[in-house]
Amino acid sequence: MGSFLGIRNLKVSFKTFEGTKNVIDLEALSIQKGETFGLVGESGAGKSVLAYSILKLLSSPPAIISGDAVELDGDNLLAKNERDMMNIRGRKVSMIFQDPMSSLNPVFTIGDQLSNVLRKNRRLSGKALKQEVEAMLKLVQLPDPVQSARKYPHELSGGQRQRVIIALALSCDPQFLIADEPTRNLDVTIQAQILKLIVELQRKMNVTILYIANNPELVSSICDKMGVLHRGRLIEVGSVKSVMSNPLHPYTSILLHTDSKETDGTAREAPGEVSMEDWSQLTGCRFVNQCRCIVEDCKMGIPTLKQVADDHYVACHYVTGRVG
Amino acid sequence: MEPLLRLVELKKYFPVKNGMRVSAWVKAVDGVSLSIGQKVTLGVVGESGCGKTTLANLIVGLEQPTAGQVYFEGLDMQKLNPVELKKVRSNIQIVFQDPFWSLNPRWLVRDVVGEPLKVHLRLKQGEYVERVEQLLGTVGLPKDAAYKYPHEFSGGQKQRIAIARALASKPKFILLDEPVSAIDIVSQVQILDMLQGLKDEMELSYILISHDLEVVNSLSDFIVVMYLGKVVEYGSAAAVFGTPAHPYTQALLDSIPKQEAGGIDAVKTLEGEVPSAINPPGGCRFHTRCKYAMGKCETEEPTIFKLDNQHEAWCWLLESGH
Amino acid sequence: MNHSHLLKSLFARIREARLTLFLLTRNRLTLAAVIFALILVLVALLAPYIAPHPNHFYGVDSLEDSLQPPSSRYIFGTDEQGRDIFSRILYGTRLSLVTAILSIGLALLIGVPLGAIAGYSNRLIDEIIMRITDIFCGFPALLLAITVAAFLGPSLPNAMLAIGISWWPLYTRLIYGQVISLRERQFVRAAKVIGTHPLKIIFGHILPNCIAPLIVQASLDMGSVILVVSALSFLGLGAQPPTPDWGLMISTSRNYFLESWWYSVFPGLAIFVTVLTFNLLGDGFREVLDPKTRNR
Repeated sequence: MGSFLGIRNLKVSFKTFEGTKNVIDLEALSIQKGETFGLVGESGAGKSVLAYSILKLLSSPPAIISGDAVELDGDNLLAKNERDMMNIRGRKVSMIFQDPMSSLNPVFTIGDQLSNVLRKNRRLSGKALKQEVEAMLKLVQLPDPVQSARKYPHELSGGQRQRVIIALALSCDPQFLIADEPTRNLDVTIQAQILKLIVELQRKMNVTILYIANNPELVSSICDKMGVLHRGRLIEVGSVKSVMSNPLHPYTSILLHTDSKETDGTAREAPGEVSMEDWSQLTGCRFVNQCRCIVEDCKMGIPTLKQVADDHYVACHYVTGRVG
Repeated sequence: MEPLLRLVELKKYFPVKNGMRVSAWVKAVDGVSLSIGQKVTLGVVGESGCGKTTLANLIVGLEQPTAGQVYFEGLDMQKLNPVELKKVRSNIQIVFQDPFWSLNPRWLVRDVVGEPLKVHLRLKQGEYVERVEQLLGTVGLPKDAAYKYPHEFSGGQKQRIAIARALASKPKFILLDEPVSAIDIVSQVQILDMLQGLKDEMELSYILISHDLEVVNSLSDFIVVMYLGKVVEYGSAAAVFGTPAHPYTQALLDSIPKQEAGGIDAVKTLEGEVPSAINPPGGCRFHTRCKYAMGKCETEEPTIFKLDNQHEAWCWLLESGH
Repeated sequence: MNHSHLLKSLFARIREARLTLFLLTRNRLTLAAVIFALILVLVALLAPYIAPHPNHFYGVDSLEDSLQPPSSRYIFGTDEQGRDIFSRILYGTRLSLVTAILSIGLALLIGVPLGAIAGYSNRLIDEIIMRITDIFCGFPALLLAITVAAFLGPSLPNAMLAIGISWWPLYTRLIYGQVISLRERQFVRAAKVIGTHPLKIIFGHILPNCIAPLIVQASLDMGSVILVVSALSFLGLGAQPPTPDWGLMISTSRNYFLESWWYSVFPGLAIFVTVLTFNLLGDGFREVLDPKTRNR
């Protein structure tokens, strides 16, 4: 049961004007082949940073990346140089970014952009290239593929552009796809279309997906497993059913609106709010200043992921203390 | 009793220019009539192209209507002289979506929040600062926030500053244009709770515009559903979301995947895209994407059909008592 | 107790400035430019006190030391009237800086309000102002300055006026572009909804956000204006003898330059160093103040 993507002890920090910020401190994350794994967290939690660091897309200064392993199908990506990474990106691993408008080059038609990728990664040309472009556009259900290929990004709607991005990402039949909030700026009805498309394609092409979003409901509806990222740490992970029906970490229950709602309206920092407190310097649990269930260990030691149920792990001193 | 705000057949068309000539019109808002009373929250839902942003701009006076009227407390906004208009302005306020750019980055928070005070009142410096600090307290921010710059705060906190500013002139009505879309989920809940509390405490009315149905549902007493510049359904929140009458409302509700209900596979997607507002489809504007479209839908615009007390929709299906 | 708010706002603004200062000094070239610019300002202020021969600024009693090469007594040598070139260059710093500042100041005074009003007003006023600006832009600045200077009569103050009059369109265009994009910002719309007067919006809300590109442009322009003033003086349209203006010195040195190289080289170097300093300063400001390159 070797995992397809296995991350162990990944640490990412940034050198800034105010000092070094330890953004990501990931103990372990593993995704099985063919699985759709949802990563939930708020803006500022480090989801995109995590995605970029897997693909080594962060420029290094100011980013400092260290860790035991980021293994993709047995291959440790941390040990690879840029040249090898370039071969892996686009072919074995692909990524869908958040904002469709800025992911597409405005001065090229979408047919050209698809052709570029296909030419480089699959070495197609001429008639075969043209046919493949049309096939890809058909795959993502763009109406009238031949006409659409001649259009520029600004001539398409938000939903159509996102389909093009998906086509680009899947054009080289990758084994692993990272989707960074692909439906963030889309209308609900279009979002439903795109989600269905992603799930359909996942089943057809058997891609392993890491789906990043800030809405746990959304993630739970298309993923098999989910993990909650809070300030750079994975605090809860497990099957979607288990986590959604029984959120154990105090932060997760707030995120899922299942906590008791006694607020007095003061802006006591919302758990997870990136604000005045520099949470990257905290030793111990990073939720300690907003949590209501603090025990002694919370300030001292970093909680580690412990199994609390079948396919359900939590990193919390309070919870593990109770479960024994 | 005169409602607080009344819109009558409001229209806003934007010209599409071909050089100097106008070749077409974007019919952003095409005949909207609404009214809201005191201490009521009206939620406006709809997707891109439905005209809700333009509607918001028309209500607060950032745009002038092409046709139709906006009445505030019985006064026709377009017929007011500058002095009267200023007074009305102190009663209508707005909170925008983007916490970053809705506050002047070069101004201290004290001045951002106090701007309405400077415009509508003549206060001594000491009183002015005191009032600002009071307002900050109302939205849950500490007093020393006044002497900081907006960028020193998180998204959720910036929205609180924006709300404090909106409350400064003691308005009767606040328009909330996607107030929580750009901030994190946990802050969203806090801010919505706070808005609810403020509404009761200060006897405010809100118009809440959002694409997020849950947000709208949590705060609204009444809901308006817009599609391509027109209102398609109106009613109490319970009625519209509980027993939606218009196929588009139904489609919106169906589009949200829920894990327990079967996840994404159980979702009934609405096919197609929103047509252009320059040449909207004839008859009922929704007919191009509607599952139940009949012949009549393509040619005639639906009239209003009342279902219950305060529940109305514009759809030919209702003619036969669907 | 009552004035604590003034202190508090002052402290807040100082905290803001700290980041800018830090970023400025990070790049070594910019740091050098900042230091040098400060040196120039000091020299301009203290010229009469630090020059070895302050009485040589405008004239001298005897002609005996005419055209002496650089020595321990006269560091940069003397000119044809026996005046110490080093002292005159120091004084010339004051002239150059003051002239540049006043010229740019005049250009800003005319250009900024015009650009702001054009950017914020309705179509008609916008068109009128910007077309007039376009007309002025059609003339090469130097040529226009020469024409105005020739018309008004040659003198340093007239040169300043000439430059101010030819330079304002640049700032109008700059501010116009900024205002056009800023007026759609949500804080401007919020101000409108609040009921803030349009003039207060332009000068209180929009212009403070335009300062950054203005500082960058003005710093770069300091260098250009000094060159133009030197050119005007060189042509005889600016400073008149015996004013120790750098351009004028170079002009006069033309007659003597084969035997007395120091006469044209040192004023030339002064111009070169000063212009370079301001160019680097402007570049440094651009890097620091552009919100995109600023935050990491």
